Amino acid sequence: MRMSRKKLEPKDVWLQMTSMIDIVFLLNVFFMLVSDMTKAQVEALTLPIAYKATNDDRPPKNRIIVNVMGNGDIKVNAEKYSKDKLERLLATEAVKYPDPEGLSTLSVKIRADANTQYKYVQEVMMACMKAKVWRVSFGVSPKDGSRTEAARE
Amino acid sequence: MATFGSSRTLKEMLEEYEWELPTSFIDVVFLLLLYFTLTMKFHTMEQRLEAWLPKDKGPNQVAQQITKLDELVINVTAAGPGKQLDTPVFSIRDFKVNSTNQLAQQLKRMRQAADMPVVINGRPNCPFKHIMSALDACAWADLRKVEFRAPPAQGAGGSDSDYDLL
Repeated sequence: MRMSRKKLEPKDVWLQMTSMIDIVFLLNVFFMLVSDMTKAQVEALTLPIAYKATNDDRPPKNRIIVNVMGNGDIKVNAEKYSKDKLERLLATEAVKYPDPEGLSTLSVKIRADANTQYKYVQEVMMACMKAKVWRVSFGVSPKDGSRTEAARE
Repeated sequence: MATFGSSRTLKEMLEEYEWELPTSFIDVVFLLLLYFTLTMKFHTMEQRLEAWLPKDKGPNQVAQQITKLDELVINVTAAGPGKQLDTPVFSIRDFKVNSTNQLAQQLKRMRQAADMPVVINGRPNCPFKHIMSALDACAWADLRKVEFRAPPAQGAGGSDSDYDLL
């Protein structure tokens, strides 16, 4: 059986520009906003639990987050750092924020895996000391402390 | 049926309007939804424990360190089967405990002032979570002057047992 062919006239074909622009604009907005997330400073870690920690909603602007993985690897801005390289980074950043005492007001947040060995965290702390950075905080997971607080009182 | 000033009923008024969602309206709503979904600030579940490294010790030491008699040294080690080391062992002077709660209570008893210096002396192979538990206990006991003992310098001849006695 032969199918009858209907010849398309040029007037039947056109491009829906409105919807295409909508889609392109949507994709544009989506990738612009999502691309910022690739610069995430935090690694996926199991943080230690603490009851008496403060919220980290308003971190200092001059803060560096150092991640210490379970196997002792050090990562800053998703890049792996050796101990010497970290010392150089902290020294470079610390001089940008001097304080009157000759030290630095740079803040460092150490996010270490709960089960990593303490010696790896000590290395980061020593690197901070060498860079004259003394404002250090540790990343921890919150825990509902109501029950524990009652138990401790 | 309620009337609004005129003789027309609400039903008649509503029938005058055609409730139709235009395509561009949906587009704009979707754009706004996408924008606010992606830009909203997620509630940070993560918190932080503050600490301050000493300014005049370690590599920045300028004068001989004077040991204070009322300094509390919390030795942190860990015990457990195999390499898990899940049980913390906190010792202050002759006092030894295995839980953060007990450590916090003991620190409260020993606390003389808020600026009483506390030194956390953790073993290098101790899981980091136990060090944080000790720091957390200090926060519970309202002890704010907390320092961390530095590891022994390499090549200084210090052994692991010496480090334990620090």
